[in-house]
Amino acid sequence: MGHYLRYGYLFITPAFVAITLALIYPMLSGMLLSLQQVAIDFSTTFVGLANYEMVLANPVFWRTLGNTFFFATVSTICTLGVGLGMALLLNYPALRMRTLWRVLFLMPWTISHVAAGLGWKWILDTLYGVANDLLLRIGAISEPVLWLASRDWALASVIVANIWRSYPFLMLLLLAGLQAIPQQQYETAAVDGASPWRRFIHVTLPNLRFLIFVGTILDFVFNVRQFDLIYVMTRGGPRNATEVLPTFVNRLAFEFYQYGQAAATAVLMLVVLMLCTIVYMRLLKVAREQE
Amino acid sequence: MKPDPRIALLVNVVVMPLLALVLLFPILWMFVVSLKPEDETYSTPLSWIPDNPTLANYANMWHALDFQTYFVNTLVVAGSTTLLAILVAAPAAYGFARFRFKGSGVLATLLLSTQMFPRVILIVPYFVIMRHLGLINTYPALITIYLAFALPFCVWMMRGYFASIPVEIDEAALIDGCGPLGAFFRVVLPLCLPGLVATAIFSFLVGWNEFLFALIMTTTKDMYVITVGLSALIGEYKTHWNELMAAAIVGSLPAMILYALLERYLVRGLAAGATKG
Amino acid sequence: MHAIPRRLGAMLAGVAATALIGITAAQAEVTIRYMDWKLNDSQEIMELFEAAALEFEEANPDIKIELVPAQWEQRMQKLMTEIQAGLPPDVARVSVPDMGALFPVLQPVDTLLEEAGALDELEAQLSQKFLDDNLRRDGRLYGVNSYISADGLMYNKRLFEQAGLDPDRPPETWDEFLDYAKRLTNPPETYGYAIFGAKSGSSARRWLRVFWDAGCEFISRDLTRAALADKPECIEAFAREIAFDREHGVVPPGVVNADFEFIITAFAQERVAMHMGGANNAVIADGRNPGIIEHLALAPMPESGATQAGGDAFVIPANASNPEASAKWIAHLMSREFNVQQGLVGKLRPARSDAIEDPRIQADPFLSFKLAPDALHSPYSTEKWGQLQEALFDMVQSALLGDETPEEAMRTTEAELNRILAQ
Repeated sequence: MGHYLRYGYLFITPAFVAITLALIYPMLSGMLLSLQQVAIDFSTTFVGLANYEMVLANPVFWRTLGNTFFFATVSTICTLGVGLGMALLLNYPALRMRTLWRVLFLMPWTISHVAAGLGWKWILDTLYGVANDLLLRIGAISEPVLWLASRDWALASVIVANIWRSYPFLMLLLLAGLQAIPQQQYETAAVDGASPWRRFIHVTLPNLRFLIFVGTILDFVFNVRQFDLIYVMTRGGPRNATEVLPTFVNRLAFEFYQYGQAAATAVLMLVVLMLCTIVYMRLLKVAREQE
Repeated sequence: MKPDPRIALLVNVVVMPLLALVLLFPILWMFVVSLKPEDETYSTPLSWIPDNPTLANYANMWHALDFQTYFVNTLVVAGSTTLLAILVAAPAAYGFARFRFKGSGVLATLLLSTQMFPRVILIVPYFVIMRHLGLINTYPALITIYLAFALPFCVWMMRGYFASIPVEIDEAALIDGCGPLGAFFRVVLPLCLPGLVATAIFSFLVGWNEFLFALIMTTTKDMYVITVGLSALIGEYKTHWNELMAAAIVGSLPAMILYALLERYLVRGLAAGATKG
Repeated sequence: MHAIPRRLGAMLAGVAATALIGITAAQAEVTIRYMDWKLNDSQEIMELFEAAALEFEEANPDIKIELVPAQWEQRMQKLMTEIQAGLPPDVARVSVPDMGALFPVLQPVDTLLEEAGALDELEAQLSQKFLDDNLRRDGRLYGVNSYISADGLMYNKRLFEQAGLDPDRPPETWDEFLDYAKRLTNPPETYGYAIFGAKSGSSARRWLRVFWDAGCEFISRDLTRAALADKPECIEAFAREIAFDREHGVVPPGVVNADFEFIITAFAQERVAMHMGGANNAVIADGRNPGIIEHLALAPMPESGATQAGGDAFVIPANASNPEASAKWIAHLMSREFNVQQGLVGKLRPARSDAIEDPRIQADPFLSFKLAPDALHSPYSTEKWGQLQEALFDMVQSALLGDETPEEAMRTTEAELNRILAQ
């Protein structure tokens, strides 16, 4: 196998080279900016960790960090709930027209974040939005709700739009997992007189556990990085209520022209995310070893 | 284990149609708005079915915006990204899945972590690089960037798929006299079609949906992609909501069709990719 | 093996083609890349500029014009990236509040325009105050403006009549204004007034107007300290504006989300009777609700009488490669005839005084709306404007959401502004 191993390197070399040149190199040069003061004409001076100090001393950074975790965590948990529910329905043995439903429920995933954000922004418009129109018609509310204009609702509205856009990913993933569960396991459980709920807990969930772990980590990464949807819907407002790290980085770089601080924030975000991932991976490993 | 017929009826006749209505409502509503003339959009109470439906928004959007050019550009960029991503990612994923070489674990983690860096910071570095290469306002600039965005996830996903193929298959091919390359290309790769398709769809959409980099890297209208064309409808004083919704629907159609056609592969590809990851 | 000669052939062809392009380029012209977000505004504007480019190219056979439409929201991001990466447009239209950040990366246009033979004429025709406040720094001129958008009190005469008010007598004091607004308000159908509560550039200048009308400044003109709460009148003026929403309820709901789009639509749909806007607002409203323009009128703001202005500037980046040709193109765009044309097509109040006098402009009551003598307040020219504006909207939204009283919000913001300015 010794000479065969050389082929391992051969196989990964093209991707390795491509990623290094096209992604790692720009990333490193971006990171380098975090140690520099970048003037408006883009001349740079080395300032050490000053940018990091500025960012960490900025209360908006901490609020934004909190928002980011709230947004990503709630989104991920709810997306998992919706995705699992939909997967279970689509896997229901007596379901007719299975393919049709599967294709239909996949559709939100095909809309780009920008288009989805614009669509939801218009749906949630205070005066001309169909959400308020519907609720007013059925008498659920007596005056328009300020979906995107009030702090109480803005973050929730953005999260709902995000869940809508991303549930199909988990739905498909878990559906595939469900289809792979041997029917025999259910039959054994049924013979033992287990209720549907107990069958779900004792047969379905353990079989899906690994997929759920992987799906949520990917979804979490996507959510933490979410920029387009929030930028289009609220631009981080009102009063930073929906500001998350990517929109904050964008603001620092292109509205405040604090390129160094923006880069520092980006690096901090990378570090925090990697820590999360490592912890999660550990959990994953532990979970796998228990199986 | 027969399902209760009453529940089956409930699911088939009530639950599924109702859910579809709720979950597809945003898309339906975007479609409704795209059919309304502008003044009707702003008259309340809202009309749920357009009083004066019109295709004028589609016509305006298509001609005035030169949407067909954007469409072709997007297709070229997303298509090339997909081809290249598959070509480069498949061998790499195979390498990761089959060979336990030094540092493969670290490299795999590194791959995933590149997904966590906010991309806005990359705009200026990319612009500087592309300028040095003379690639500003060309397809290769966008294709390179999207390839960089898509590759790590593609490798990660396909690695799992290759891992789900029994090693005995490679070994049989090797015994039959194929070299490692032949074993990969002629025997293993064809077995991975679902994984390849899932990866292809993923990378296609990276190119199809990206906005910010496309905006910055293109400088003339004949190089715009769909998302950049869309943003031209949001002006200083006016957002053309009806045309915007029409453009959003048309811009999503290829992705919708692609998903609808290849959805089976997607399920299998995703599942294997994730299970053995 | 056949592939190699073929590839070699292709390479040779490539080299030959490059050389050919090189030769033609050496003989021929310079190309001026002109970046402008207005080009995206409408097909008519685009056609106007295409015609202007053709005309210019005929007069200057050695110069080619390339029109680059920019996206409004991302205009600065795009311009800055291109300048920073060393591939700037030759000429760009920028919005005046963006100038503060841009000065360090622009080159003076005065000597260039002089060489193009346009400087004296432009200095005579343009508002000196506007140029001095916005476009001049250290004695050098960094741009020339093609329009000054004058905002006043725009109101709906039909709604005035319905409320039993005299449509030809707009309110003249703030007390009267509040009285009118209350009588015009009939929720949820109609509201008296609209407040720009969402964060955007066009909202910012409407809030600065509140301070300027009261004889105050947001920050001191030397850009060293906050000035928004210097006098009791300043606090009173801001509190009055907030009270329209929080106390009197004459403003439609969702005020912190109310951007230009939201307000102009509500205004066009006759859901809002009065708002602060300029000439193009009437036309945009008419696009939303055809015919409404007949019922609209523009008046000076109550009490101060002041109208408040925004505007643009044609600029040349410091690292642009063809400044002389660029200046010629700017001179062409600033000619009297084009200034009138742009005014008519784009509904932009011409900056040239001889263009304002043109009968075609005078025929439009909105375009020819008279600027009050002390109307020309200017935004603050500093690269920190992004941060200062963020603080402004934090104050506005804090007060509108009731997190703080207007005065508290102003005090918090005063400290924040001083912190930013001291950096």
